[in-house]
Amino acid sequence: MSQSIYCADDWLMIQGLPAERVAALAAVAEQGGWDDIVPGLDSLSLSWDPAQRSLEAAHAAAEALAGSDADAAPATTIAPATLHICYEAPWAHDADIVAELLGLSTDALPGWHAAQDWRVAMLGFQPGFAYLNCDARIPDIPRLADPRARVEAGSVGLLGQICGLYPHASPGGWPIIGRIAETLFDPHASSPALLQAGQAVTFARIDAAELARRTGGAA
Amino acid sequence: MTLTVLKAGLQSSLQAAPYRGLRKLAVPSGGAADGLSLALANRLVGRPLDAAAIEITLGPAEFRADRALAVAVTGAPCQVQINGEEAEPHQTLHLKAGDVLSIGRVWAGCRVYLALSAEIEVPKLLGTRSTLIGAGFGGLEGRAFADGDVLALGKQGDDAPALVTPPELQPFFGHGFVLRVVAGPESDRLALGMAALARKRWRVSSRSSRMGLKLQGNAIDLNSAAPIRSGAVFPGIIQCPPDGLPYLIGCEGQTTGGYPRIGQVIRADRHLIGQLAPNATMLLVPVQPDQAEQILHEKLKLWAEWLPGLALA
Repeated sequence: MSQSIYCADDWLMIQGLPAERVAALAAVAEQGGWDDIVPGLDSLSLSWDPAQRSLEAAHAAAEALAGSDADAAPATTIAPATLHICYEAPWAHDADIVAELLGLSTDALPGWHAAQDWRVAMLGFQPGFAYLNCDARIPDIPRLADPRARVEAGSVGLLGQICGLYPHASPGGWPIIGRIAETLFDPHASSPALLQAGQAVTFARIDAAELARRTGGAA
Repeated sequence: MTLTVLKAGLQSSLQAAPYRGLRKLAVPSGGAADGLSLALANRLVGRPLDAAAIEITLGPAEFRADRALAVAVTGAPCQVQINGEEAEPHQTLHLKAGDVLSIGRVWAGCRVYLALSAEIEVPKLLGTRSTLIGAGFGGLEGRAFADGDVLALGKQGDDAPALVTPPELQPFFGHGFVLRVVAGPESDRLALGMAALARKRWRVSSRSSRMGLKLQGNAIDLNSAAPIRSGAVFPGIIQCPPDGLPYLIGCEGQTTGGYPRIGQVIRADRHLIGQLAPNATMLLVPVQPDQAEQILHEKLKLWAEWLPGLALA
């Protein structure tokens, strides 16, 4: 799909973008005076207040942004994040089915997952929920036929080709392979989300006892 | 220096300005579902137009002033009473300590706004005092009110105003609504074009909340029902899930989605979404983005004198 621009009356979307271009354009757009800058998996959406900026000016700014040289975009300066993950029971509910889809043994799944170079593609679904992608070829992992009534905060799922991180306990349909110790979203913090689009993420393995220690024993 | 919630009703919560600039962190906008009615209420008690006030869903609800206080009621039409005596919406009401203010079940529309002349003392979070009920933060402990909640009130000026919204400016809410829409990113999938949205009357189902509203009517035909790669949605987006029945994103709706986006309610009309109750009907009228921009400018001009600085989000 080639790049094009969709335009509503107070937001627009540059669509058909490769993931790395989404992050690069989002970084450039930070200086553009937009109200909201929302990365998608293959798109970047920008909103404005029509009382402050005309539709014509917004569209022209987006065209200039979309046409800008990717190499001219500032290198991502966001520090990589390391997340401490436990792949053990009872946090790896669906490791068996995910491993099978990936053609791995269940024992090999943690090693495979922790070895990938993950990057935050976007946040969505609920405050702080991160969508991560990587360069590995991942078969399309389906949603659980019977979604769980409760997925714990910090649960790590794989769906489609995306690794998703649940910030809050909630119902959920993503197959779950582990749980991280970090808090992904805290509305009382000056920077409420731990992760942001474009950020590199490394997973460091911990055992269930260490997870319990780091999360205050929350089970 | 408090206001006591005697009867919270179906859903009453603290709402003010929306959360701004946080959609990239997947934080919804939230704020008053009908920001115009919030502004009208605050105007009558001399508060900033987007100050925190109480948003009451469908009613009834009841509150007790624990000190002298000016209040005002706007939004969906309903019976207003002070100690059982009839009182008027759209004007400043002066309560004495111990007075009970009752809001009846709405006759039409969906949400009533109760503004107070004193600041409601809850911490500002990420720039506003609005409650995100789905995410569970902001406002009063991130939740809707419960019977018996006590709201701490700050200082108020000595002379609260005594005002009435000019009658010609009091919005009228019935059971039918007209919302203007521009095409969405995937409107080209509509087998019948935008006419598929325009040529029927939609009914709001009971599966409706501040997050979104499920519409009932004839299912929509898409050329392709394939999911899209997750991308931004905004309040007022009309999604088409696999069942073909539109889902209208509300002020507290999620920030991204994977269903085809077949329309977008224009900014000038988005405050009306907050007044759509189950069983309300609506017509969706397609316009072009430049017309939508013009409509917003005209609407803001209409309000400029009574509500200076009004922002419609």
